[in-house]
Amino acid sequence: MYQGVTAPIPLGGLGLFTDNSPSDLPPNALIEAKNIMLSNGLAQKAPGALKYNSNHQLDGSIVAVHDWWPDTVNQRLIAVTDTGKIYRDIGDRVFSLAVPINTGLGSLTPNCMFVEGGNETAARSKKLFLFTNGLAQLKVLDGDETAFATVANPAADWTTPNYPRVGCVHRNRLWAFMKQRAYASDTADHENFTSNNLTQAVFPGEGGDIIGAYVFKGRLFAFKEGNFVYYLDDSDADSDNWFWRKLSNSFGLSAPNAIIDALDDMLAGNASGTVTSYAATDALGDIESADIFRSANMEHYLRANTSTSGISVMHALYYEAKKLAMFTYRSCYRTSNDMLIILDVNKQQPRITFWQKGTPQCLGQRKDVNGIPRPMYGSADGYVYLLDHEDRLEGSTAYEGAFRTAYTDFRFVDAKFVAAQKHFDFLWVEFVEEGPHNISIDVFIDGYFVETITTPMNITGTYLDTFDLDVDRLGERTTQSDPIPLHGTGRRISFRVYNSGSNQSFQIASLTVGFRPGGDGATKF
Amino acid sequence: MAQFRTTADIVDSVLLRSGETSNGNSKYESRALEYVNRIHRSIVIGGSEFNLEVDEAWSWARAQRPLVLELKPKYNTGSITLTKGSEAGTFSDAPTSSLAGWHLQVSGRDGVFKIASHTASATAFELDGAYDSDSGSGLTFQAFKLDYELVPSYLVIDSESNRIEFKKTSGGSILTATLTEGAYTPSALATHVAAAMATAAAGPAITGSYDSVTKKFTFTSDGAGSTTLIPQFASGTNSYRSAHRLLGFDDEDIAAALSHTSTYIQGGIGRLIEPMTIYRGKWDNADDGQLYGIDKLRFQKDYPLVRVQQGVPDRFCKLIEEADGTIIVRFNKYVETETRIEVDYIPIPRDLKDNASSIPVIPRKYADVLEYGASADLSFEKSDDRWQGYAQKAGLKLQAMVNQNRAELHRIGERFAQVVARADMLYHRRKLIYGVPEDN
Repeated sequence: MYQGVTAPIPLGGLGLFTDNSPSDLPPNALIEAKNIMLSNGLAQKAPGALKYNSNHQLDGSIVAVHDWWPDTVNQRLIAVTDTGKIYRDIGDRVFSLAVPINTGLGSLTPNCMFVEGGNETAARSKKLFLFTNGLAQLKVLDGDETAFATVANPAADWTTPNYPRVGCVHRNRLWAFMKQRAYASDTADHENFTSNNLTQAVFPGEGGDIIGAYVFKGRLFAFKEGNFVYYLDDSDADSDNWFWRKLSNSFGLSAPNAIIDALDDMLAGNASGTVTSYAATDALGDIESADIFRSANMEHYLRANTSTSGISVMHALYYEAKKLAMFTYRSCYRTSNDMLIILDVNKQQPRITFWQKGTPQCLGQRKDVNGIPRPMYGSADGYVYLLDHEDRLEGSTAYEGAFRTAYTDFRFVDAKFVAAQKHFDFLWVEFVEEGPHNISIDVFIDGYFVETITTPMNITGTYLDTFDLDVDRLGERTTQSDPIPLHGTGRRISFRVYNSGSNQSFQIASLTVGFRPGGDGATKF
Repeated sequence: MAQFRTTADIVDSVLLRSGETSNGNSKYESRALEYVNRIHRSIVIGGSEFNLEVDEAWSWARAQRPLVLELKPKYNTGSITLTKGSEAGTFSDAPTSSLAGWHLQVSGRDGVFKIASHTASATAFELDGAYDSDSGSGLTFQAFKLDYELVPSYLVIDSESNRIEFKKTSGGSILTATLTEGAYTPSALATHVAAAMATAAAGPAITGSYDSVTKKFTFTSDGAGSTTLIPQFASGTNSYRSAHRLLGFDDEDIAAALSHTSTYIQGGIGRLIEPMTIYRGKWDNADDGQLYGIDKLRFQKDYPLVRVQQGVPDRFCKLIEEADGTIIVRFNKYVETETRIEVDYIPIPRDLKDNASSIPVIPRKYADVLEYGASADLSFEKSDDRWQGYAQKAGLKLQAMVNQNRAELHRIGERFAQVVARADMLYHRRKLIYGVPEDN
C-alpha cells in the first residue's frame, strides 16, 4: 500500500482562473484552457466543426451568417462576405455553386447585422433585413426570394453616405439607428419608415453614434460610442410619449453583434475589451452590471493573451442547448478574429475557456434536423463552419485541446504541505474512454518543465465485438484510472494536459497526485 | 540507456532512482553527476563510507603503465666554495642540470645540506640555510638526489591513444590529428601533439608546451584565418583512442579558445599499491628488486641522512602528498648510475562527465554501485527516506565486489589467503641467480 499522500485535483469546477496570487489559486483553477469544455464535471476536448460549404469557398471573409427560415418548411443559409457579396444556400451546401445573389455592397465588416421581421399581418411574408453598419441602404429579403432588395420606404434622411447602422424589432416595429437617432417603422409594414413611423433623437450631442441596439426583457437598449447606454421608456400607451433614458456612461458596447442574453442575463462585449453582465433584477426594474472576466479572475490573463483590436468587430452568441455563451476574439498579433471565448453558464459562476481552432469572424445559429439551434461561424477563409460537431477536427484540420492546472502545493490537503518539499511519485488520471489514442501531460514543478508523460484514453480489451441491437448492451462511459510514474521533487506542481492528433479527444475527471512529503529545507545546489 | 556503460547512463539511472526525470530537465541533474563522481573517486581510491571495511586495491583501477622514474647518480665533479654563515655557494665546475633539491655533503665535515636553488649550467647555488661550518674553498663534496617527485619521465603513445580531435571553427568538421606511437618526455610529447594538430588544421600555427612546475600541457593556436581551437573530446568518433586523457583533459567538448591548458596534472596519484620495482641489486631474498615503503619516522631512524650511502635503494618513505596527487618520496640510498624505477599506482580518476564518451573506471559489471551510492546521496539531499535503502545496497554491493575480487585472486593464485599448517608443505620456486653477486 502506498505510504505517501494521494491528493486529487478535481477538474471542471473552475475554468480559467488566473488573476489571483499564484499561491492563492484554488486547486481546480485552470491557468490555460484551450479548446476544451467543462461540463459534467469533466474537462473535455472541445468539439470540432463541420466545414459546411467544403467544396464551394465563398469570395472573401464571411462577415455575417444567418439561418433563414422564410416559412416553417424551408431552411436557407444566408452569408455575407467582406467583398460586399451575399450568398444564399438552400441546404445543399454549395451556395448556388458559390454564385452570390447580391453584390456591390462595399467592403463590409462583421458589424453587419441580420434582423428578422415581416409577418406584420397574416398576409405578409417573413422578411430578413440586413444592416450593413451604415455602408449601404437597408436591405431586405422577402420570404424565400432569391435576392435582397432595398427597403421600400426608407427614411428621408437615409441617403448617401448616411444609412442605418443597426436595428432590431421592438413593440412590433423595426427599429433602425443612424447617427444619434432612432427610427421605428410602421407597425404594419417594417419597410415603411415614412408613415406611421417614429423618429427620435437619442441624447443628441452626447457621445458618438449609436453602434448597437438590443431588446432584453422587453426593454430596448441603445448603445453609443463613448460608453453610453440608453434604454427606451415605452411604458406609456401612446408611442408619441416614449422617450429615451440614460442608463450609464461608464460602460458600453464594443460592436453591434457583441450582445446576447443568456439565462437571466444580458452579456455585452464592452468597449474596454471585456464582457459586461447586465443582470436584470426584474423585467422592468433596475439593471446591475458587472465585468464577467474580472469577477472570474481572468481579466489580466485575457488582456495579456488577446488583442483588443478585434473587439470592434466582436460577435456574441448564446448556445442554449449547452448553456454556452461565445464571443469572437483576436489573439495577439493577428489582423482578424481567430478565437472564441466560451462562457459556460451551466453553473452560477461562469467558467471560461478559449477555443483557438479557427478564424471565426461572425457567429450564428442553425437549427439541426431536430430543430435545435446549433452554433456556427463564418470564417475568414470563406467557409461556414457548423460548431459542436462530434469529430475533433476543424473542417479537416486537427487541433490541440489543452488545459493546465494551477500550481498547487496541496495546502488544501494539509497546511503543513505548504513549505514541504514533495517527492512526486505518480499521477492517476481518471478519465472517460475516448478512443485508441493518448493524452500527453507536461509536468511542471516549481516553475520548471520536468517531463512529458502519456497515458491512453482507452482501456485495452473493451472494444466492441459482435453484438445484437436491442439485446446486448453497448460500452458504457466508464471512468477509469491509470497510474503514471512522476519524477521530480519540489513544493508546487502543475500539469498541462493535451492532445492534438486527428480526431483525438479526452474527457478527464480528475488528476490524483501521489507524493511523499520530504524536508522543509532549501535545496542545495 | 545502454546498459549503464557510460556516465550519462549512470546519471540517468541515479535520477530515476531518486524520483527525478532523466530527460535533462531535472534541477538535480548536475547534482547527480557530482555524487556519481564522489562515489566513483571513493571506490577507486579507497575510503568509501558505504562500507568501512572495504579498501581494495582494485586491479581495474591501477594505471595502465607504471610510472617510470629515473634516479640520478651523485655529482662530485670539481670542488665547491662555501662561507660560514652564508647560504651562497659556488661550484668550480657548473653542473649541466639543475641540482636544486639535491643534498650536499662536504668531505671531512659534518652536516648534510640541501641545495635550495640552482640553475642548470650555473656555478652559483644556494643552500636551504646558512652554512654552519668553517668557510673554505676547493672543498671536495658530493651532491646526491634522494627526494623525487613521482612524475612520469616518459609518456607512451600507443594505438589506444594516438588521436586528437578538434575543430578550428564552430561550424566546421571535426579534424583528427594522428600521433606517432612511441615514448616521449612530456615536453617532447607537447611538441609532437601540437605539430600533428597543426598538420590536421592545415592553416593556423599550433604550439604545445609542458610546464614542469604545474605539470600541465598547454596547446595554443595563432588563430590564423579566423580560426580557433575547439577540442572534441566527447563528440569525436575517435574518443576511445584519443590522447586527451593522457594529456590531462576531461572527456568533454571544450569551448572555443585559442589556448587550452589541461585540467589534470601528470602523475596525479590516488594511492600507491605495491612496492616500487627496481631492476638492479643482488636479487636474493633480502634484495628482491622491491623498494618498500616505510613510515617517515622509521625511515629517519633507520636511514639517517648523515649516514646515507651510495647503492641500490630498497626503502623509501613519503615526504609530501599534495591535494592534486603529487607525491614526493625519499629513497634510502643514492644510485651510482642512472637507475630506472617503476611505480605501480592508482591514478586519481578524472571527473566523469555527463556524456556518452565518459566511461567510469569501475567496470561495467559493478556500475550499479555507483547508482546505489549516488542515489543514496541524492535522495538524502532531497530528504527522501529511500536513501537508507540505497545506502544499504551500495554497501552490500561493495562487499560483493570485494568478495568477487578475492575469490578471483584465490582461484587464479597459488596460495592466496590460504593457511598452510606446516612449512614443509610450502612449495618453493627457487630463484636462480646468474653471474657473480657484487659482494662476492
